Amino acid sequence: MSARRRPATPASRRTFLGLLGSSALLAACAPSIGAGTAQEPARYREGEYTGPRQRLQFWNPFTGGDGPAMAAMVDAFNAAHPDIEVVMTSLVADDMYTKVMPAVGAGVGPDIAIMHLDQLATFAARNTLVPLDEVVEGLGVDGEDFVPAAWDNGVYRGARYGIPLDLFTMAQYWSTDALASAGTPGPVLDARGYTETVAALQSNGLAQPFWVPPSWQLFVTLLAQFGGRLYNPEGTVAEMGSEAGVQALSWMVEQIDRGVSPGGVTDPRTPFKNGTAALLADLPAAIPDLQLTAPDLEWRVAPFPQIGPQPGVFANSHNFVLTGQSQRDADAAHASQTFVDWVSRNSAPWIAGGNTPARASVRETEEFRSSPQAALATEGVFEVAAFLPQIPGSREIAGNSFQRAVGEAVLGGVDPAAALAFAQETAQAELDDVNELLG
Amino acid sequence: MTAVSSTELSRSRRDSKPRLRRSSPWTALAFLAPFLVIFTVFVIVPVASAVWASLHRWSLGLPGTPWVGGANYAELFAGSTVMSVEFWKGMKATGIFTALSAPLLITLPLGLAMLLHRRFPGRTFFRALYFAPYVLGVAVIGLLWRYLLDRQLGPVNQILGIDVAWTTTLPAGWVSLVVATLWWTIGFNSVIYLAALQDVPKELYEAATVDGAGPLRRFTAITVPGITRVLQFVVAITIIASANMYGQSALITQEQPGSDTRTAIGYIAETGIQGFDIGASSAMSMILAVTLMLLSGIVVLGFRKLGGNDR
Repeated sequence: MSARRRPATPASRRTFLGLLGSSALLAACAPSIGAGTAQEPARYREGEYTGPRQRLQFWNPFTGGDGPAMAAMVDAFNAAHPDIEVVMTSLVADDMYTKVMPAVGAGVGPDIAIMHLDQLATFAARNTLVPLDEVVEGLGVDGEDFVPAAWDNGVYRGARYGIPLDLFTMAQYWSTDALASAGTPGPVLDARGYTETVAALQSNGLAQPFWVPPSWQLFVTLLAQFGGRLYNPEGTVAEMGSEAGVQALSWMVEQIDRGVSPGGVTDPRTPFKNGTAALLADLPAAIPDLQLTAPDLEWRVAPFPQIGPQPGVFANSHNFVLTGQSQRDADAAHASQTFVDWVSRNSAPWIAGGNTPARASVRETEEFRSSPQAALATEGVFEVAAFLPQIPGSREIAGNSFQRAVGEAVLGGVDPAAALAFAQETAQAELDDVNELLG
Repeated sequence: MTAVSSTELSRSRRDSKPRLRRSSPWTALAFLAPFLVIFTVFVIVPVASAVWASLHRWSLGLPGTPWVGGANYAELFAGSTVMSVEFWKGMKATGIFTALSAPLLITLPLGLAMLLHRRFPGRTFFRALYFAPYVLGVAVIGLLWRYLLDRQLGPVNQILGIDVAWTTTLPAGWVSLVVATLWWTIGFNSVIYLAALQDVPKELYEAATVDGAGPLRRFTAITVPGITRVLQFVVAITIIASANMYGQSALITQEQPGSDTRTAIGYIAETGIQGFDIGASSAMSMILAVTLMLLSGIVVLGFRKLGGNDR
């Protein structure tokens, strides 16, 4: 196997070190994602953008029935603005939130995005988002037209990061036929009404009329109704393990213990659609789903009943945000501002997605008043809406603490008090970590 | 041959030009350098950065990255936080999968290789056939098996006439993952065994047959000792590959039921990539890596003790 060749001049130490040095130089050119410097607030730019054609990337988590509604709004915008082309990408929410930071850091992410209200702090603290205070001031958007709670919660550390598109709250759905034939037409209003309705349905032959899944949104709703909260308003102390928390979670477990709901439920919509259950606690995302997949079912939707001693309901909101990438030059920044302003003002097609528009001017349209979710858009609901506070890393903390506790208690038979005590301990440790890293 | 000729060569060169040494150590290093550079950039630097990261409390993008020494490790080993509980649950899932799949992936391909080693019509076709799934990516086989195993629509339940939730219950979930992995990678180990079998001298088998050894005796006395080195390699890489399983559980069972089929790698990815927690996920990676190194060490030592026909 030995091929005899004339050996070339042997390499000297100098050539070898030279090679080594040049490759080290190459390696040093590798990009890295680190903590960027804090973002400059987006500057307000006068009027709508005109000029060289701009191509903007728009990411959103609308992969369900709400995707086509948003696509229609983007198409309308593109048609009305020949100088701007907005390219929309819908990603599963988890994937979007995983990708957005490195993508924006590398300049290949979105210029504009829709984020859930509770995610603003996470990405503001990581310098993915730019403050919008100057922009909203210049545009004359001062919250007057918006649901106050949704508008006020878009602020983190004194700077505004989101412009609400909509809001959505925990709701009750009921099968009108089943409740009418049991002699208790809906909606259920309070704890007594709930008990009576369930008893009437059960004696009418529906053994398990209300299936309880490990829904943390239901837990947050009940937590507020029993007078508790997840964290203190400053986001420094976890309070989910309070007496109110235990009462809220115990109520959910009780429904299973008393046989109102079977155990191990992960999908409560299917039994509701096929008539095995007659009551459903779900978000407005269920509206387009029910319309599409259960066209024969007669159902209504109303605000979630007041089970605890005071009113309260879980709420969240989709928000427009601008990323650092949108500020790469004056034209891109101006075009991005134009898009957010225009779509926010022309958000009527969004009603088809099942959510409640955040702007009063859109809620006053006939189109919204005749939609099912109009029943959820009452001043009473807006006043008691419990939004999640702005805490960086809130979803990680939530997943490891109260969401996990709800799952363990509802599916795993763990004692609610024990599950929540551990959740509170975990959330506190993670809050402390985050607050330490924020400096 | 080689040794002699090169000695002659260097002697003759030394006679004419005594200052040029053919065997300068820098020459060897220069030829190794391209690989060394790649190895450094893609293995040593990342591993070193991961060790470095694991010693910090580091959430991607947040300004503070304080040095915490071994605190990330201590937290994981203490097992009292949610993260440590979930991590060890992932390690257990990885362990279960490895314990179920590795023995099958070591033994079945050997049997298959011995079959494919025999002479029969269409031998090359079958060799290619069994290797074919290996060329598919994990995304392809993941989607394929998820469809095949779907409870309502999947052909598996329909053909067998049963109603098993292959992807959402245990132990059916583990069966699904192991069978899919077996189907996917059986060809790779078979090819390696096949190459090893072709290196076992035929005369040994003939001599043994003449001496009256039956098939089983020939297998234990000639085949196994003849391929010990390759067997050791297969055992080691199969354990490592099984322990690094991620794509199958992400795609086929989607970590269901609950997160029971989420492997260690799955949880590391979730913590680091989705949760931005670089410090803790690096510490988890280190624990997994050291565990695999120890396992590989045990395999090597075990085979050394067994012996084999080493020179």
